Amino acid sequence: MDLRFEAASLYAVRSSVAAHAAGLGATPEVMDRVLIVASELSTNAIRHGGGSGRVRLWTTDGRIYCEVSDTGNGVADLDSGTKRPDPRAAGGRGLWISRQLGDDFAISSGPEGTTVRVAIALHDARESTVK
Amino acid sequence: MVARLAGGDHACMTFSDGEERLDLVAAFVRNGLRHGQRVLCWTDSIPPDDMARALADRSVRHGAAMRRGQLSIAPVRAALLDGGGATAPQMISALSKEVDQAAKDGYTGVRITADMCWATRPLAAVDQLRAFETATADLFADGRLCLICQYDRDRFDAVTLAFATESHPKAVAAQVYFESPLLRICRQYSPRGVRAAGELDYGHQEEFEHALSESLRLDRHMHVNLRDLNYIDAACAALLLQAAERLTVSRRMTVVCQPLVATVLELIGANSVAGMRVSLAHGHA
Repeated sequence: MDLRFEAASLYAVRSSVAAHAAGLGATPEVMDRVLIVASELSTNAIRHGGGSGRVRLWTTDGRIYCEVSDTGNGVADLDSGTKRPDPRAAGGRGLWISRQLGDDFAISSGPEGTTVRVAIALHDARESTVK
Repeated sequence: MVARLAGGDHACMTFSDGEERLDLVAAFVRNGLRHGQRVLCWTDSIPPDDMARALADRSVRHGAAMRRGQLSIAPVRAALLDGGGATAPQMISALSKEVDQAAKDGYTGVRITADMCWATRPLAAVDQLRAFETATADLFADGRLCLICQYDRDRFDAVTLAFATESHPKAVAAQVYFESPLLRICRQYSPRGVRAAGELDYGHQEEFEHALSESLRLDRHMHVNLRDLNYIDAACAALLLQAAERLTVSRRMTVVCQPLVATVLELIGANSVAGMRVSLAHGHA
């Protein structure tokens, strides 16, 4: 899946991501995680990354990769989202949530834009150990 | 609104959302029981047993009230329509008998809510419904009867709906903060709070915040019903935490939601807010 988006197309991002993740055989719990990550990162691109972006989804070695990139001015602090924001804080939750839900998280940012890549195991390890 | 209805009121409730109708009916029934009135709930599109369950789900204690004869839940066809083919004068006479009977049984008044869906069936006489709604005025003169007629906006044609609105002196409907095919945010009357359905993200943060602030102001405990909310983003989820943080010690916020919404709330720290409780909707536990 490779989709360009802007503010008006967040609904389309979510429905495409949900349909795509379902097609890859993700469990409902994994689907929720992918959906939340894709939507939060896309929201960041719209609100702080120049107003539009691109979301890609693919699988490799039993993991779903979700990558969102924008052409904004970049993120000042690459460590942002490593601590949970206070409930009263105005923002900063998208990266925190994506770091929490991802099995792997990578961010690169510069004056030409930001790219965040999150990997989520297709079959949740926590789930399979229970079974 | 539904809480302000009193004896002598004849109101039209229009709805397009089944949950919203049940909320309003539950609030109407509860207020009647609290005021020591007889309450008659006449159903059509929903079987009486389902209505009883819906009332129980909304914290209306119907069992004891039914046993002592204060509350009755019955099909409208039997109660008002004499099995189906009642004329308008027969319907008026059925209502007036209920008013007299309630007085004989020692009640200060009688509250009736009737699903008018029967009039949309083939062979049902919409003209009798119209005659009935027009001729009821006398029944309300002495202030003993309070009647809400329920009209499903999806079942009635626009002409009948317009007539229904005109022929009732009062109207009851849920307060809607936002409505589109993708999202609906409205006030919930029983239990009191806010209901949101569809997908909620920062684009409608302002409407959601408005709904929460009204509930914060008006309700002792806030019940946030997100059963039919398929998505919430972190920005809107944070509004719930911020509202819950403003509750004083004796108040609390209960959120009922799907797993995805519970995940977002948990990640942003719902567990650390004292007055907030998050539980999964039936079927998701």
